[in-house]
Amino acid sequence: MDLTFDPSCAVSGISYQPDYTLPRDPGPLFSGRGLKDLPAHYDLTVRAPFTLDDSMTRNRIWTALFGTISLPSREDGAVAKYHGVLDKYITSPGPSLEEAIRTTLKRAKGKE
Amino acid sequence: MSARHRIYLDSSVLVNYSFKKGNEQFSLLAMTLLNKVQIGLYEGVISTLCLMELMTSLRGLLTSHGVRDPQKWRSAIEEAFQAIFRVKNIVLVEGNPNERIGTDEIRDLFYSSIVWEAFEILTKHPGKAGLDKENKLKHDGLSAPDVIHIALAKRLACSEIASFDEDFLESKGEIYALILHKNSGW
Repeated sequence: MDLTFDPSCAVSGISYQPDYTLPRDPGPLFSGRGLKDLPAHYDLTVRAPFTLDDSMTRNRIWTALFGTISLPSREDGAVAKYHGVLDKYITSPGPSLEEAIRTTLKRAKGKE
Repeated sequence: MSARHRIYLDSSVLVNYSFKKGNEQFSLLAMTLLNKVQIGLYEGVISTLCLMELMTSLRGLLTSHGVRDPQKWRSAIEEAFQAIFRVKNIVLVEGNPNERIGTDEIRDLFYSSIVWEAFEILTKHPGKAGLDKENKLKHDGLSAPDVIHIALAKRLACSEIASFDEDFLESKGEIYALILHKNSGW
């Protein structure tokens, strides 16, 4: 099956002809353990590194969900402090929580 | 430039972190990984798709345990999100080209571009037939959301994807799947 991208499907007026036969190397951040599983043709020098800026997305997600509740800021020690933060919601007997987590995750990913 | 790994966090990590009462081993592993993110050993990437999976999972979990009130679902989701938003070195992304600073390759993050790569991955990795707990035949392999996660992780320069879902092992050759309860030494 030929899966080459058909540029004619691209949005009109936008120059958009990526060559899907080329590796899309994400740059030098792609280092370490993950490398051994990558196709040999990955050339790690092709693309400049980039940083991620989530300030807009962070605000947007929070505002969409919780409106005027102020956006939480990052804090030291948060991981230990909030570990198991939802345990208190599981008060009534039900199916094994472990099994329920497995099942609901599968459902959320369209696997069940 | 940072030399640390950029790691894509699957929703299974977030759900297991949110509950200690579920699978205690998974919960501890999820916390350990998030701790490593917090102290800067990894840069954690969480996508909007991942957050949507977290939301639907929480609604399902609470319902299965008798919590029917949407207001309670909302409170639980708010607490789970509060916890995630407070962790240092986690970035929340939706695949918006504006999120990538220092590159002009914005077309890499067009929805059409990501979905097409996801389609290619799904075509390349068909999975296999397996048996479920009741010995019934079932398909073991990547789902549509899985391949979108993988494509997005690649475009965001993540070197690995962390999960408890072994289906991601199918993606060998695309991205390193760090299955937290299977891999050691991370």
